[in-house]
Amino acid sequence: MKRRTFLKLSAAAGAAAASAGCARTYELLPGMNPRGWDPHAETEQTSFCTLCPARCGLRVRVVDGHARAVAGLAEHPINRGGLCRLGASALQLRLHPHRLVSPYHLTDHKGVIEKTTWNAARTALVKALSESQGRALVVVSSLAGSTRIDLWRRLLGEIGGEVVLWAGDDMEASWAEVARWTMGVDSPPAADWDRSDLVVTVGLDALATGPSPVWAQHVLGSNHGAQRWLHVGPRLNATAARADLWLACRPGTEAWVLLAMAYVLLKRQAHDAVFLARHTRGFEDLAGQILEQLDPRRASRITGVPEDRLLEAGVMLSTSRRPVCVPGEEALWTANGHVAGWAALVLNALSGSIATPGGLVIRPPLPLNDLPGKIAAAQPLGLWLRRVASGDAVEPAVLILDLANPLFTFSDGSAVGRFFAKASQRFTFSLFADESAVRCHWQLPAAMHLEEWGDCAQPPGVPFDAYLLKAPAVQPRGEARAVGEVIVEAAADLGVELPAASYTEILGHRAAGLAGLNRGAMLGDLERLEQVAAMEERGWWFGNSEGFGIKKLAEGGGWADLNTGTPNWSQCVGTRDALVDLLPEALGNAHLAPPEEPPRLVATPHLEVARDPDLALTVPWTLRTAGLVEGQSWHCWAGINPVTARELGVTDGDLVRVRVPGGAGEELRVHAAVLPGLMPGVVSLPLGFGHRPGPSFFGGDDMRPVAHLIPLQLHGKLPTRIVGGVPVDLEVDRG
Amino acid sequence: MDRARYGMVIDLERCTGCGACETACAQENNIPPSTPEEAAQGRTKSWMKILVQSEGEMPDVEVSYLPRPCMQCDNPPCTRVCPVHATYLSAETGIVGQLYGRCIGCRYCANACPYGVKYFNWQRPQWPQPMEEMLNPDVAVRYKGVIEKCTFCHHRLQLARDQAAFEGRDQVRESDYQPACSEVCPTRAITFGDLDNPLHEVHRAAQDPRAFRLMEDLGTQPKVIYLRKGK
Amino acid sequence: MSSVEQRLESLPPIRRDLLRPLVVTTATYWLALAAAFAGTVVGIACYVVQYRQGLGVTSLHNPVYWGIYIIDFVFFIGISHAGTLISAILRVSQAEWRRAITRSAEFITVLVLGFGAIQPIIDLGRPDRMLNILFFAHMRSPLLWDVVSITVYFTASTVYLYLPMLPDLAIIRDSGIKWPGLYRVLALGFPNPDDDSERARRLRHRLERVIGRMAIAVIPVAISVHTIIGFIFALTLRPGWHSTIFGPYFVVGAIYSGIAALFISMFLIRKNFHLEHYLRDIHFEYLGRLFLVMTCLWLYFTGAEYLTAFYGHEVAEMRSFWDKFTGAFAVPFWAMVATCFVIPFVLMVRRRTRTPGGCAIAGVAVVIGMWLERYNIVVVTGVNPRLEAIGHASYAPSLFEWGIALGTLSGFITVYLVAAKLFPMVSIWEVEEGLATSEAEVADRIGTYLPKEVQP
Repeated sequence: MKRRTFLKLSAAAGAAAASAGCARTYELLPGMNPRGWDPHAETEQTSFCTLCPARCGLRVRVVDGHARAVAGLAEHPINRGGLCRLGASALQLRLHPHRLVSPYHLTDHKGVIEKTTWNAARTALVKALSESQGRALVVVSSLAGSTRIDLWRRLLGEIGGEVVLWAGDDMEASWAEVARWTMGVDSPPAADWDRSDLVVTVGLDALATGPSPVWAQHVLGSNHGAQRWLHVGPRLNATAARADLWLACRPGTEAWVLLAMAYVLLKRQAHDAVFLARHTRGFEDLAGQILEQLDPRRASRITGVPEDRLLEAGVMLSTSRRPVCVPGEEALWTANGHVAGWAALVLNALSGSIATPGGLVIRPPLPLNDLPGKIAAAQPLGLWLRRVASGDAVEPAVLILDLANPLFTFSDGSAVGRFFAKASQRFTFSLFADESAVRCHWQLPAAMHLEEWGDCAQPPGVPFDAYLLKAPAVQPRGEARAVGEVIVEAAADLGVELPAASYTEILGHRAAGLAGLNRGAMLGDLERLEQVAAMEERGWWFGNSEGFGIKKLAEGGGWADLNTGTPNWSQCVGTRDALVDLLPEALGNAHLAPPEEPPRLVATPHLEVARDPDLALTVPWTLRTAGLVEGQSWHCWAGINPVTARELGVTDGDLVRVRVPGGAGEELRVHAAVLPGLMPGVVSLPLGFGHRPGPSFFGGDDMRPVAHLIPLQLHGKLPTRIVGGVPVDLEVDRG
Repeated sequence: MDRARYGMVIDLERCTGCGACETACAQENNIPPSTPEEAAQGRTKSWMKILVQSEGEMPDVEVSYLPRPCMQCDNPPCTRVCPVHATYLSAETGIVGQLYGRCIGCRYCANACPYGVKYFNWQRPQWPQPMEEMLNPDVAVRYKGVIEKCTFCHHRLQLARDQAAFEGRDQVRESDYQPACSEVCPTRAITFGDLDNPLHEVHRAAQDPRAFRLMEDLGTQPKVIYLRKGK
Repeated sequence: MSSVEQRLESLPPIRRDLLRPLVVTTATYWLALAAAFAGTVVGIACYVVQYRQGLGVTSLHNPVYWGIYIIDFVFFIGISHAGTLISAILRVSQAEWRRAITRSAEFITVLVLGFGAIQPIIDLGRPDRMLNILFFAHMRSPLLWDVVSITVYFTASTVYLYLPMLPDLAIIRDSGIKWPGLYRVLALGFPNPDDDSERARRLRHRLERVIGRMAIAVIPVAISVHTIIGFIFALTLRPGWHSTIFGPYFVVGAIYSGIAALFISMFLIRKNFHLEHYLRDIHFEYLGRLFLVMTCLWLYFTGAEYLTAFYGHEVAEMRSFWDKFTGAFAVPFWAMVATCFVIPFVLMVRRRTRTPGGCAIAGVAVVIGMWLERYNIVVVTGVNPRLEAIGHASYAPSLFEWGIALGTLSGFITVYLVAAKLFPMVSIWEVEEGLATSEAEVADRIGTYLPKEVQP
């Protein structure tokens, strides 16, 4: 063959190969353009989030009947368009592959689960309730919504039985009790963060875990430069990281940090003497005690905070025009939790920050229309347990869970586990087959927040009055149903009288109580809301001639009155002489008996849910993808300081054993996390692991591992989870 | 439409590291969740990622959060090295775009970027079955083997332009086009707009004395500007 | 004796010795071929999995975007400098001892270039789109410069292998010892060296001229190939890569690894084909001296590279630096120093160890060492991104990556073994020509540069 021919042939072969390479088509991912695709209009629906107590406003983008995006509602007074990580992942929760989408019935003897129908479930529920003879118990999540909870209370008020609230109240148990001792009010006060110029958070991770994280973030962002933040607590959490001053103290000693600050305040004569004289009782004695016994040098020894930092904090407090002090679970869930709560109240009182703009705020209940008839009381689960133990309440024969997972909060061996097993008929309305749900005979799929009507009166954490109302943005997934509708159906079957025939009408009936209130305005126009607040301050009332039809109410998201701080003391302080009692009897001398000898290792709790191995610190309690782990471990961990880790011979990631010496609990086997932002000698235990896939995000307070380690103790009138300040032993697990 | 130079100013004093921007970005741009195995291998895609650094020892521990989207450089090192011009700097918007249909997956641009904003689809992205229902219809879903990165949600710009045209306006207003991260940030730490438009807030914010750019001395001229922590 | 063997024995001694491997196959050969083929099959199977599942089957992740495949790419292309150096440079400098070596060296070049050039394709996320490089070529990209230079080099090397093989192909064709049809096609009608006709002499003369010009032309092409490969790394901003020395450093490393591979192949050919008379000790001796020079050059470049990094003490650079010197990569780094410098230097600096065996050991050491060098360059920088907050990563190649690497190496060995069965690994006509005319030529040449009789 000639050279030239060879070359020509090669060229031809090359060209053929090249052209063959061009003729490929690329397939689209299946399902992206399904046949018969029929575009609808795109709409935006208003809703609010119920994944934490804050209730931020949502804007849901609905395309073709599917929710495609969840964003914050710009005009909502709580979140102002912002969202937290959890709220932004709402769609992932709705479409979670493990979500319960059909009703199931557990046939007791063989443990076999079979699909069933809502009709069968309804029949069974009605039958069980009618035969319960007053021994029915409903455990409902406090995130379920005001009217829904009230409907259960109405139902059980007629039938006979108890309604118990799960999650939320336990967190604030100590703070609520302090409020009761000192101010004679039933619920813990809120704080007007926005108009304060020094926010003191005591064991409260305001920016991450509550009570209203997005609101707190908005306050931080918008008061940038005009406001200072001070955090007291053993852990560098999100709030401490952003605070202008962080006082790192040993867990269980927060009260004495605050009292040292009070000392400086008193020494500098910066306390609000007029307020104290006019509105409080016991100031002279208290001031004497503080100045004599609780000086910063002693406080520094007790708490581990360097003295100069305590002085700096005291000066910061003294030079603030309107400081406010709010405690949280890291301080309240300690043996001295009540003292910490009381000390926080004292700081507010000394600064005159009670019932004024920028201070603690008492919000009266909203005048929503009642459900006429007998209503059962609603109590926290812990209180109910106490009453059962003392024989005051009876163990249930019929148990109904509504978005509640009590077996995750309390360990199996506890009283909760026992009464759980004894109830012969157990029903649950839940999103996932969680720890409690799988032990129920009837596992019924509940709608999640985007899929149902719901309301909330006075969302916690914000200082202004608000009533939020949402309409469903999308259809419930699968066979899930709005629980409120189920309750109304059951009530009709049981002959319990309700003001209207359907759940939405009942909501309308309740909301109508706000009509003619002559204050506040419907949401939907934030500027108008603010104008209204300004006008009210000047004494201009606004007549609400527009009807409170719930459709319009739901379109905007609800109603709010941004005017906060009511000066009507006799309405808001319930003590006998309308004076705040600074040295209540129930406190005793607890504040004068601080723990002097810190144990070698002491525990502190926090609410974070996941740890991202990429981060040096733990991730705030919200998850990026609900339940689907993305480099964030669902395992529990024990956080320790690098110095302590070196002393104990522990490196990051080691398996360690944690136990309470001489305690009634079990041993905890978890991985160690070396966290630089933790005090030496402190073991931080997150509350919230050991979950099976398919988490319950509703009421995320304590979760199983720590419940095993430190069983719930009944302290005072309400049970409080005492974790902070509990001495623990930690060693590397070499097994 | 006029030319614009879209940029972002992130105030580190306001950022609390909450991560809402990461989640909102993932939702908006159809970024698939990674399985635990993928996450353990370091293959999680976070177009917007919060970089956390902690310094010091107790009691003087300081932690800093740095939200890091694509810097959208005006002198991008990534566009120079792409052999097929699948990543390019748009003269019209200043956004560094990514042509998923042309990318051959050589990952040279990922190596060239000093900020690590380029993410590669190591395998076919998967959503658990029902979760495909929440995909954003305005954003392409990428297949395995191509590079992707933050695009300043430029599909929202296209939507805003369509809306403006429909309403007979010839300008896209500042509030019409905001990426998911700046929209969701609860502290308003992220400001976004046209750096060249004196009416937009970023224009003024970019000249704040606290302003700095990440690794400025490399000469990449990033259009994401940070405001130093501290008042 | 079969007719083929009869014909073989009837050839002149040189031709008989050098063509015997084409027709006589030992058991060792079959074993080696089977093993190499098995390795290739494993590699292909691994690649099929990777093609279907994506690059997720590797251990790569952000920020380690490149791993074994790119390491192998640089490694194989580096080895390809064997042919260029020996053939071209020695030809240009008229070193007569090159004659026995050039063929095997050129074969290494062409084959390893082929296998090296497919590595980046294996590394692509979308190999089905590789033609986009032609349709949408972005000439500013160093990758594209690389595509061009490797294509030119491959073409040039193939031609540079094939043309000088024409006389040998003619010999085989005319001897009739192996598939005459094939060799008739391959020889392209080139005359046998025994042919003394006018046409034959004219063609041979033309061949010599073309080879001479190509020898000069292929040198800058070869240098450009590895310089550009160095540029692929150096033109990014990654610490550890962004170094001006990379261009020349990679060229030096390539030549170094090329000679090392050549040592191995020469040793094996000599031993297994019993060509001790052709690939003599002196070949190893001379090449060994050149190897020693390259060892010292390698040390010089390496030392300069790290001294510069260390003296500047830039934070991002120092992370990579310490990782190599004392950190997670200390073992591969110091192993590289041992195998790239200590072992070859010790072996090559003493005459007593500049033996074929010693050279082969040094060759193996350097081949391993140069692979380790590429590993250190690619992976250490991969795990240490410039933005420290991204964090230090880790990379341990997955089984699929090792499988494909094995497959590539095995594939190369397979094709080389097959080539050894089809083509003589020592250039017959050059050796014959050398024996016939070199002495006179060299004597003439010496006369031109040594002084003539000096007048008193």
